[in-house]
Order: sequence, then structure tokens, then C-alpha cells
Amino acid sequence: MNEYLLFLIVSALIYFVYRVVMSFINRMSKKRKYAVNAVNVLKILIRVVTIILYIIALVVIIKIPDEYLVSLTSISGIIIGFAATEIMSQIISGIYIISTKPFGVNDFVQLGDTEGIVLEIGMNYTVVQRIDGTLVKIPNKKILDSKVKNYTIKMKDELEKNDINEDTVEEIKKISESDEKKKKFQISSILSKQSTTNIKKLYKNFSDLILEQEITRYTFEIQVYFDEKPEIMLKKLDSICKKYESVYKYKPLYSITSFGYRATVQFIITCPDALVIVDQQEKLINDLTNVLYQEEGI
Amino acid sequence: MEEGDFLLSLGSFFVGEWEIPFMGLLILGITLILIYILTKLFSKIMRKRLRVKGIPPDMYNGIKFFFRIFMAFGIVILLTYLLNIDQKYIALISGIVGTAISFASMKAINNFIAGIWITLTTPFEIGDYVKIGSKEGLIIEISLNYTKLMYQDKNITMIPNIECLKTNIINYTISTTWFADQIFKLESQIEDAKEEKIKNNDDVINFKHQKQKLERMKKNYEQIKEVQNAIDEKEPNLNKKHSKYVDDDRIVRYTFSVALPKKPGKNFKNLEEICKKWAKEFEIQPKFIVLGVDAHIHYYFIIITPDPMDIIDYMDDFYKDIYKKLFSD
Repeated sequence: MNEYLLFLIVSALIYFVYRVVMSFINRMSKKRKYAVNAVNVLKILIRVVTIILYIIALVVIIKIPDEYLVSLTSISGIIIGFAATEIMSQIISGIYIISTKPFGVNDFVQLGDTEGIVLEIGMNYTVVQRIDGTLVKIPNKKILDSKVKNYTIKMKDELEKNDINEDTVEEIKKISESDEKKKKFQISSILSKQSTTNIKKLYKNFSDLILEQEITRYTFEIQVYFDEKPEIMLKKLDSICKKYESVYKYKPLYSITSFGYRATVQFIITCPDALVIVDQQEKLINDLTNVLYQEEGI
Repeated sequence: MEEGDFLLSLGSFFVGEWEIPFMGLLILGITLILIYILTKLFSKIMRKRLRVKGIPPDMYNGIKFFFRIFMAFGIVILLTYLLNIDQKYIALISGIVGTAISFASMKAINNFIAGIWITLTTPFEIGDYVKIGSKEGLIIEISLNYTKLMYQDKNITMIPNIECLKTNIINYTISTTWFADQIFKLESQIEDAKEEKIKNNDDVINFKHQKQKLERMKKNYEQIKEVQNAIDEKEPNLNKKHSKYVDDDRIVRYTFSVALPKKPGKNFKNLEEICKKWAKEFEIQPKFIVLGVDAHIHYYFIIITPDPMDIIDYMDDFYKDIYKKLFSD
């Protein structure tokens, strides 16, 4: 009987402490205007803690037989384990992304069907600012499930991949700084000695790219009716590319990827700064539409 | 132990030296009836108390659910005690039952915990205009199980909290404090980096990135500030009533796309006129940009307003205006 009395006293004490804490929280929330949600969550957590305290008191003082204890804890353990899976997997995928770095902050990326600049990589969400300026929060778990396209290339990694040593880079640097003619030819001849096809293809047109620290190589598609004479149409596209060479530092390229009822034209923009691409995208497409679909009389 | 012993010992009870068969069953019956009455009473009292305290009904249902589970557990223990069944069976049965229950209640509890998670991490707050997955609307309530959204047709829909963890969230409401915080953090980081001399190549890129990010954030922040100032200047001569979701700190920057025929000159002129017309309703003149060409030209409208209810109220008219303007003649 003594045990039961002790248990009653202890539980009364726990209840008293619980009331005191609750009233304290109420007063604080009124004073400082915390968000209602946060206060509610805090209250629930405190309730859960008190229930756990009661159970501990029960177990310690009244000495419940082990079988009951085992069954109780097994049930509650399984429930909590299953419930936490979702959030645990969120957190773990966040850690995974931060540690493996498929993309970094400020990279121009395509995650699933969202395209934009990475503003923040957090534990739960990765924040991407789209070209139109809206912020999209993408759950890290979803990123792991969907395809990731990183338009930003770190040149250091790229050189390592293609087995180009620092000596060749130095050599290229010297050539590009000198006033010699036929710079392009010389650089490409040096690169062809390395005999890696990938890098030759990528940098066929601008070999200076190797000297940049990082570049963003963004591609997007537009669909065009090729109903005019080819000379005129292609000239229009060329003129746009030429116009934007000074903006991006490297000349944008275009290629026709499919030719059906409408032709699909792919633009490849190369620029050392991803932010420039985002800022200029709207102007570029506006110019494109204006040039391609000129209306008479306006 | 002979075969008949099990049935005899089932529910037999000792009073002194006398063994009374099936006494346990009698006691069990009485206690079950008692428990039934008690639960009825308890649930009545609970319902009354919760109503007084203003706790939502879904909370009450959750409590009832857990209460029932614990009652069932208690009854099982009572059964084994009164019918003299070996206690190790309890551990066995409870293992099975526990797994079954936990599998069954996985979603409910997941939802519950997701609710706590959302209130702690706050990807959105009450009064934000958001897009969760493909559902778009104004957030009216965040409870522990559901998030309530008001659609553009003013219907209120409940989205399970677990859904919010799994899909993309676009929060069209931007708070200046968030950007201000970010800028402050970045500035302090850059200052720290300056003190240590940067030598490593990776660090140089990192440093550059941070600076770029700061620039970006500042640009965003200035845009918002500009808009807020414009709104503040306009405030005295406002005769429109704002809804309760307006906050000094937050503005709504809503974007949506329309696909229009391939007449850029005509489109530009007409859309400009529409934007000018709507400047009155939305405090700030809406903007539009071109972001795609295929069979149509894709225009993105950017509407900035302090009141999220504006978007729910006027979007329909806005679309109608575009339609009227572009296809009337």
C-alpha cells in the first residue's frame, strides 16, 4: 500500500509542475506575441513529456512486471518509428545532398521541372528562384527521386575529368595573353594533343573557356515556323546571337534539333555568370519573338 | 496437468482454500460493463471540456482513438490476469497487434508529426498565398492534421500535412524580414571571410558565390522595399477595404502564365493597356515578361499586391480582360 501512496504523491507533484509550466507559457505567449502555432506545438510537447513522466513514475514505483513493460514499449516504439520515417528520410536526404554536392548555391539548375538559381540548400527544402522571380521550395527527398540537371560547370572538375594538367592550362594562358595571331588554332592544337573528344566538342568554338573558374552552359528550346526563305530566317537568328555576344561574353549558339510542322531550335548560352543569364533571359526571348514574328504596320 | 485442467483452471478463483470455477469470468463480465459505462462518461466529459477550451474536433477524435487503443490494451491485460493465461502470451500477442496497429495508424501519425514539423519549420504561414503541388490558394488554417486552403473559387479544401512535405511549395507571399535576415547573415559571413586571407582556389569561388548571392538577395530586397514604399505612399487615398490577411511585413508577388498568338507587337500593346487599367486594383501596376516561344508566345504576368484576397477576388476578371482585349476585333 505504501507504494501506491507514494505514486499518488509523485503524480500530484508532476501535475503541479505541469500546471505551473503551462501557466508560464500562457503568460509568456500573451506578453511576447509568439506565433499561435508554435505555442500550441510547445504545449503538446509538454503534454507528451508529462505523460511519459507519469509512465516512468508508474514503472519505477509500482514495479510493473517486465512482460507488460516489454509489450508496451514495443508497441509505442514501432508506432514512433514508423511515424518518424517520413521526416527522418527528409533530413537524411538533406544531409546527403549537402555532402555529395550534386549542385551548389548559386548554380543554375533544373530539378525535376523547376528551373532556376539555387538560393539555399536547407535540411528540409532546397530553395530555387525561378527565372520569373518566384521562390520554389523543393523537398530534398523529391530531389533525390527526380533528375537533376546542373548547367553550371566547375572548370577545375572538368579539367580533372579530361586529364588536362595544370601545365597545359598555363600554356594556354600564355598564348591567350600574347598578341599572336591564330590563337584559336594554337590552343585547339594543344588540346588535340590530349586527345579527349569531349572537351574538344564542348570548347570547339571558344577555347578561352578553359581559363574561367566556372561557366554556366544553359540550353533552352523554342519552336519556330520556318515558313520564310532560309537565308532570311537563319540570318535573323544569327543577328540575335551576334547582338548578345557582348552581354554573355561568349557568343550564343543555336542548333536545329527537330524539324516537323514547327522546327525546334535549341539555344546554347555560355556565360561565366549564371545571374547574367537569368537577368537577360526575358530580354533575349522578347527580342527573339520580335524578330521572328515581325508584324507589318506596327 | 491433464486435459480437463485447462478448462477448469480457466477463470477459476481462489477464495481462501476454496477454488470457485468460472468466478473469473463473472468478474470479467462485471468489469467490462463498468469499463463501458466509464468510457461513455469519460468521452462525454472530454467532449464538453474540449468544446469549452476551443480545441478542434480532429484533435478530439485523435484523443478518442488513442484512448480506445489503451482501453483495449487494458482489457487484454485484465483478461490474461483473470483467466490465468500465461503472461508471456501477452508479449507475443501485443507484438503482433502492435505491428498491425502501427502499420494501420502509420498515415495518421505521420500526418500528425508532419503537422508539428510544418509549424516548426514554417514553409508557409496563415494568410500566405501558396501553391502546394498543383493546388493553389490562400492558407486559412494550419491544424495538426490538415492545412486548409481557399481556392480561387472560394471553396475551402483540406490538404493532408504529409502532402506538404512531399511536393514542391511555391510561396507567393514574400516577407521582407526573411530577406533582411538572409542579407544580414551573408554580410557577416563575408566579413568573417575577409579576415582570413583566401588562398585556396575553392575558397575563391565560394567567396565569389557568397558575394553574388548577397547581390541577388539585395536586389530582391530592394524590389520588395520599393513596392512597399509605393504602397505606403498610396495608403491615405485608398478607399478599398483590405481583408484581415494584410500584414505590414508581407506582400504577395503572384505569377501566372498565359499563352497568346504569335503577334508580339499587338500583344505588347494590349497587355500594356490591361496592366495600366489594373494598376488601381492591385496598388502597383502588374508587369509581364516573355519567357517562352512554341506554337504560342508565353507571357508571364507578375502581380504585386499587399492583399492575398485580391488575387482570389480579381483573377477571374483579369483573365476575362485579357480575353476581351485580344480577341474582340
